[in-house]
Amino acid sequence: MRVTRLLGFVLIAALLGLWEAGAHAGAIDARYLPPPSAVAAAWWGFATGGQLAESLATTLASWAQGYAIAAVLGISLGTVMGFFPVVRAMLATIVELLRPMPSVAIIPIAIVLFGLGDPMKRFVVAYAALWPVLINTLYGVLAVDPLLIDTARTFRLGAVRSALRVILPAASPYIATGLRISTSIALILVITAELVASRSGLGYFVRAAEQAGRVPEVYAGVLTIAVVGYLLNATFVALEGRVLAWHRGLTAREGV
Amino acid sequence: MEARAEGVGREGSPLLDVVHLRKVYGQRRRPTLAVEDLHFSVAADEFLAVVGPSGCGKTTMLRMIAGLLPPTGGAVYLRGQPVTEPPPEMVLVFQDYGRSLCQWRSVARNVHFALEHSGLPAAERARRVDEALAIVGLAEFRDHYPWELSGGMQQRLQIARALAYQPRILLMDEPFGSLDALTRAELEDQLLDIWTRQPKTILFVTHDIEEAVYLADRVLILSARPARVVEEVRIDLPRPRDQITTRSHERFVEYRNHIYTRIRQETGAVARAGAGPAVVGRG
Repeated sequence: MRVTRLLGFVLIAALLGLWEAGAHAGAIDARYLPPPSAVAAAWWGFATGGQLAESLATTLASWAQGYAIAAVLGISLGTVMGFFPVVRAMLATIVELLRPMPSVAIIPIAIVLFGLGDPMKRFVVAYAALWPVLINTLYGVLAVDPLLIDTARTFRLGAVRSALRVILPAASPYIATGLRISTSIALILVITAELVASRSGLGYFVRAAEQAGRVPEVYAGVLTIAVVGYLLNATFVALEGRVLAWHRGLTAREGV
Repeated sequence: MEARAEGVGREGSPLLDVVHLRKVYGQRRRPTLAVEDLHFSVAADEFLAVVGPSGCGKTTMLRMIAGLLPPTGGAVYLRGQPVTEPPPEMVLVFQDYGRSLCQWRSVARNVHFALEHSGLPAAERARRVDEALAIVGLAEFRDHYPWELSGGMQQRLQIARALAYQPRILLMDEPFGSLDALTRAELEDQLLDIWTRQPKTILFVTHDIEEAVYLADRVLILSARPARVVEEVRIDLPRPRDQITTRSHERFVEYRNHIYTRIRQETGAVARAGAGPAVVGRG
């Protein structure tokens, strides 16, 4: 595992070296593909000028707020749908109509409703991140062993306690899958919203640099977004590993 | 040998009355009669075992008595009150222990689960958890997860959870069915020991005739599906019972042979009639 990761970094370093050499040798047109050193210099200016911290904070705030709304709404709605067949029957059609629509298509509507500010971004992120959480929670709740529910009943847990102490923990591996998928979907949507309709954030920084023809800055911004995505996912996987250690142990055991 | 006294146990007054209980599954399309007519009583502090051919509807019966499944006909009465939801003083120990445990909770937290909404003070809850774990011999595994334990230990954990709750009535659905012979004998003796020290009413479903005779005051023999009581046998064997002396007792062997013959007649009757699962006509 560690060796393969190391090999991955070796390849990245080799490609960067090749890119740098190619740009200097004139084999690559630096106007469109500036050498890594130029990109690094642009990034350093971006970071020390305070613009990086500001853009990053704006983007992450919209991401986190929208994601939190999606998580709370998706988990509670998914649980209620899993619990009550009537609610599930009522909402299933709406969900099946809205879910396959590419979430970026909601951006024009969000602009009409909220204008160009942060509330618009929050809405777009929450909308897109909702579906994976909702669907996975629903399937997770439906997959809870009926015997576990009988156990809760025989010990006379009420509906709320059953939901909190039996249903949600038992469904948590599914819920975690939904939350993990939504982590990156939320980032895609916040960057898209910033690229097309915003005056702040990492996405806006990239678009502004592109329109001004500052190509190294475009690359610096895109690389920053890539690193943010990588770190968000890595954080989530680490958290999931800790919270769901029991599930990994259980499935490893059953696999034997 | 056959004692047909209507449900009078050691203490006398019936605690639980099962009155013409009936269950039909899949009402509209192909209705299946699982339980035809179960009628018996259980006395306070009695140890009642129920045996019958496999698939005869024993689990369905227990789920109706536990208030988890509404009957199609008849009723269950606890101290004269009809059971419509799980009564607070009753706990069902499931056959499938692995699916009934909270796999995300440690052993001690699984036992604690039974007490979380009891309103008991924390110190009393902790004491009961420790006591129950000690009884089933899992004290040193308290911080393990259920999936780290063997099957026998998981079933002991489920029993510990039921004991910590201290129910007046313990319903057990083939609790030792999937365990090896040694573990099984050990758990049978532990159960008898607990029953003697903390008197409670136990309704114990099993397909093992010897286990039923060894444990119980009285054994109900059920017919093949759809279930009804074909005979009840009072077990007049001295207590405390012992795996070696009780099982080699002359009457133990008689009881076992009698019940065995009776169940063979039941399954034989089904085989001769050529019936699979009983199907009720549409009228």
